Amino acid sequence: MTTKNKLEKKSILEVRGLKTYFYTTDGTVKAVDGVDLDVFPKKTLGIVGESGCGKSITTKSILRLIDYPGRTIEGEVNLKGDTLKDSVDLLKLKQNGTELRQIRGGRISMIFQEPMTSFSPIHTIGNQIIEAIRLHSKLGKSEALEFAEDWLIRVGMSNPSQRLKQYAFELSGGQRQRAMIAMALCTNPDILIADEPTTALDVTTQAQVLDLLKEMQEKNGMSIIMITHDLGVIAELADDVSVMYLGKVVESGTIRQVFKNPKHPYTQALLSSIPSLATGHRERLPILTGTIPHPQARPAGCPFNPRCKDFIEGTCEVSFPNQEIIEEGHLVNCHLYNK
Amino acid sequence: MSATKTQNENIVEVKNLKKYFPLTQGIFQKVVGHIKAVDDVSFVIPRGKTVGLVGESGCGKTTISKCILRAIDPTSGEINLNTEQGSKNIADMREKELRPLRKEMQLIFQDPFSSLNPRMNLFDIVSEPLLLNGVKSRVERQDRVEELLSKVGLRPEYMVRFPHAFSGGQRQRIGIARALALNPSLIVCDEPVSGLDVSVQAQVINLLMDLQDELGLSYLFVSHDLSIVRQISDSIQVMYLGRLVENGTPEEIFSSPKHPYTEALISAVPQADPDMPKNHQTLIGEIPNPSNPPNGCYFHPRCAYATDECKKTNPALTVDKSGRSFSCHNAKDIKLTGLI
Repeated sequence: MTTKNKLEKKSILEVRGLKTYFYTTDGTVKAVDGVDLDVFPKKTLGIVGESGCGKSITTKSILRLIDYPGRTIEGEVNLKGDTLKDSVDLLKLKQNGTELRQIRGGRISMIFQEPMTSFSPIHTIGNQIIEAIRLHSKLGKSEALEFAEDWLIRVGMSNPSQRLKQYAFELSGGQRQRAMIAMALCTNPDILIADEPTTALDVTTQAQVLDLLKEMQEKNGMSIIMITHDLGVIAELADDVSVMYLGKVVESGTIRQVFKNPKHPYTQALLSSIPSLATGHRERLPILTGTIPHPQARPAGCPFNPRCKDFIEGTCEVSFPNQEIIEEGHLVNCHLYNK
Repeated sequence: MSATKTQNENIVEVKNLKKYFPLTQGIFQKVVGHIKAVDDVSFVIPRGKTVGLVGESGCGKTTISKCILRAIDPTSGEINLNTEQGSKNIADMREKELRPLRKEMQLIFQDPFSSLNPRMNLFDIVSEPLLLNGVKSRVERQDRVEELLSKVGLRPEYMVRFPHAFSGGQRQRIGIARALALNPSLIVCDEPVSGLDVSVQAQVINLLMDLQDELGLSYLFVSHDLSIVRQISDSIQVMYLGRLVENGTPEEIFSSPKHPYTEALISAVPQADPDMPKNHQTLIGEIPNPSNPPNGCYFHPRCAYATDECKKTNPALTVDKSGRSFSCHNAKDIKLTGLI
């Protein structure tokens, strides 16, 4: 198991066997089906996969933000503290209870893909940042205002005092994402969950936001969970990476282990389908055939078997592969490596 | 691109194209200024080739493509479309004359979710251009739709289904089939893969290249993703705030950029290789307001190499010995790094 393998490294967030199912009238959708993740202090964990693989639902489950008809039915989400007493299993906390609300936005913050829709259009940026500060500290209104301004300066926003009085629609995409990062970090969280934070941005603005996240991590020492389908962004920012397919983690390890020596056919296909420096002009990239299966018609056995180039008949469609250890920290779920 | 080319080697020749949007104020809508969305742009699209157009959002990429398709009317300049009937300037052509030429140019949209009518089935969507261009017989249209769908890798049985039943990649294929319906010679691809997953992006790019080889199509490929533009394009135009700042083959642009903006764009692209050195030359700030551009070179407030001259005069697009053009005062003095 993962724990044995990483004994020397102590994780700050440990997700074990997380299952979130959606009970719709058409049947049950197993959006997250037994996910294990480890987030280490001051490190960045990247989660990659195609849309619909359960990346976002996993992090929403961690913060208990799943709405009806979804339900997290099984698993553990252990947020560790300095002592054993500080550690809590988030799934055991009362939904919307005080304890959980203190953790959301307090010890674990989140930034979203489209900051336009995640900011309130009828409150100023300042109002929204101050709300977060005052919910998680004892600061008064004017102190909170100063604190908010201070944070806008730290994330490199121009004219911070003016920005506080502006609404989300008055800012550009990059500025909105900066404001979002300031709002998420002003409570000094242990973990920042970034759900596709740069997908809606230009490459140049994306580079600015990624640099800002790295800088903030160095200064504040928080851990980041980075969700994205852009493998370039992951390579740039992450220390560890988990590759997800249809609600399951199929491969995980350090960024170098997974990107330099991908073992799972899905990871191999993903990595080869993006143009790189070695791609010749008008060269056809090898493509991953087919699409993600319909949620109600998931294949039996290994979920990747209908699209897999290394399909083993009589094995892959029968059982889900066990976790195999390639080397220390590098884990893969594939029958190819079954000894 | 060779220097000696006859008229007909290029499908489109754009000369000094300008598109200004007026800014108005007050109850009489007095014009108080202009947004120069496209400002004196000239380039050619060679027949059967792909021209990549890159730049940040708001730099005028989409305005250029709309002008070429005459979805909007250019302020001034020439757009020469070379068809079998000879060369015609469509920049200020009347709609009546333009109508028969429209089928030569088609568009593939960015967002496959909003560019397909949810109330029309696949047959209606793909055959609509045929119907509008006088193919009345249903059997004939049905045959053509079947042919088109199999060309883009969709099963002809899907004809009766509606767009909601398809994934993003499949919808983009439907959009491509619709664009191909009238046998166009030019297809403008406006960010055709930016809304898609990486694995699906490769499928669509491969399809576009296969169709080009098979049908001899010319593409204007508008995108902000440099790695894809590099893979598909025969030549690349880099745009900043309504102006072209550099052009060249992908090889030239990526190995030896001549404009600091190109260098910054290239270094901003994240590479999926953990061993790559991560030295962003992060651009300071954002693209300036096009209604009030800075004096001199538009790029100088964000440029690491700016000198006093850059603040005063705007550099002209100059051509060097090897045939590449770029607009930078300091091109000779600075050494820019690309990839590799």
